[in-house]
Amino acid sequence: MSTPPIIQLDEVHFTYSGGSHSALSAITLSIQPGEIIGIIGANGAGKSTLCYLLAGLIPSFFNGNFSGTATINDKEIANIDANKLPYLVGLVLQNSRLQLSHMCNTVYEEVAFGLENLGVPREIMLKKIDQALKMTGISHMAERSPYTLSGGEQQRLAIASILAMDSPVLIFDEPTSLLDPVGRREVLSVIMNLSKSGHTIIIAENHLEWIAEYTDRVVALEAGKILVQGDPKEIMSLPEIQSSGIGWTRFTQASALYLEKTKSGSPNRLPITLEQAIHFFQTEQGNHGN
Amino acid sequence: MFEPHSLYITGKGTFYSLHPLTKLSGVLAVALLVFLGPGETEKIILIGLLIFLTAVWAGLLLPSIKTTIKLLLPLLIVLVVVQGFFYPQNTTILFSLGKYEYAWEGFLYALFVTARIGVILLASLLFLFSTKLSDFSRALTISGLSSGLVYLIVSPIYMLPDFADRIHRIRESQQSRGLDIEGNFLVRIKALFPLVAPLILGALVETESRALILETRAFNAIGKRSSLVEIYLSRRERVLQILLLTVALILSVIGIIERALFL
Repeated sequence: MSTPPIIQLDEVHFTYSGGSHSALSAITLSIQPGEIIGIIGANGAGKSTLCYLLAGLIPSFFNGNFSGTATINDKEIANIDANKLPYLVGLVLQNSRLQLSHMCNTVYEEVAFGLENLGVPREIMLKKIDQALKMTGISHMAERSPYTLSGGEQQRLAIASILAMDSPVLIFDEPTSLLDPVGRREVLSVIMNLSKSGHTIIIAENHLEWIAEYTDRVVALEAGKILVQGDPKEIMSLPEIQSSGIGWTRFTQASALYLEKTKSGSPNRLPITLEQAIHFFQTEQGNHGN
Repeated sequence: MFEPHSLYITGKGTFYSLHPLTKLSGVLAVALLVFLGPGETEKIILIGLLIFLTAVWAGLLLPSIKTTIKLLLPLLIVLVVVQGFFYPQNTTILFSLGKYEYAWEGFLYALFVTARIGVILLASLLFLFSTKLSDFSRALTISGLSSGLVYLIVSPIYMLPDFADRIHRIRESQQSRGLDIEGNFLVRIKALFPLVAPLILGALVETESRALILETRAFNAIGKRSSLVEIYLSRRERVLQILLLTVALILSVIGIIERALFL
């Protein structure tokens, strides 16, 4: 018997209030517990809107025309009350500084903020905070001011803040787009570790190599619709991914260029990851050698 | 990167351990008495002395006096000049500058006004120096104030560095595009719009993200909130709060009646 999905979207349409076109159109998506889903798409494709929907913020927070069914753990998202939603799903946005509560002096207090709002008893709160700080690798910064942290550290703090609330589903809306390479590595490494701890992870991210390497499934969006979804290693080198404005990974692009220049017309599927690219070029070299 | 302008000075002792709302009640009582309480100069001296002793007790005398002087000195200079020359009840002329005469009464009045503000400032600084902003917001929430209102009171203080940071970045960006912000008054006025407009628009755009984040952190959750830091309000302190405010109110009423009768 297959596990029931933790998130189920059926024929979801959403148009922002005052919007002239649908931000999401006919979205049908089933997400299993523990899955890592990558969401890719060009600017304006609907990645953030899909993240907000999965985080339970549509239609309650964003006004607009909503139709279809969206459930988390078999509960209609629109009917889940504010006290229960953080226990089901957590959201991390791209701007790390904006995610500070602006009510706390220290990293420790910042992680406690959500738990205080939920009325979690202090003894339990302390355990949850320690655990969340440990999982994101910022325990040693507990007494520092959140405002003195780097972008990557602040983003890990934002992750710790939602982790402390025990959300089984974690949604990341381009969490590394404003970070430097070091910050990006730190945050993506934390997200990878979280996936190992059984969390369901949904991440909208422009770092296509990372998406290809680490996600179980990719959902490619174009103009609010699902363009294609499936195993990243199978779909990310499809021509429609390139033509939709998402683009290919550097390895796919290099290989495609190589084939075009050598006019070899190799039957090999275009590589997506570094490992595949090495294998691809080794095979190509072998073919040319023969 | 700019840091929040927290005025808290690490310390301990009985004054530090007072409930934030007890200290706030003290500041309110001082403000009420200074402006509305009976008496004039003698009242300011008495309240000033009490606050001075409290500052010694709290171990905050030096920083609070230093900050008060720093903040009040420009005001004092302006008042001494303006009131000395232009106070309506000026009679005892000390010296003349052309057709303008400087008088003793105006000088005294400038000192009195500055002392009034100084006493309230000193009391406020004692509160700010000895109270963590986060403890203050928790105390307000626990006391039953709505979390939205507490957020409105406290968050702007935390957001100030963000604004300062953004002003800095906008100024640099606009200067790199050739905007002249250093020059005479007119040049500066002209430069104001390109500096202020992006600041305000940026802040408005960010409001949605901030609200979104609060939503995901259960800010709108209904029900009793808990607190990471235990802020205990003893019965004795509750009585002290009521006493401070009641005495200040009664004396203020007396002061108002007294002034009404003698005017």
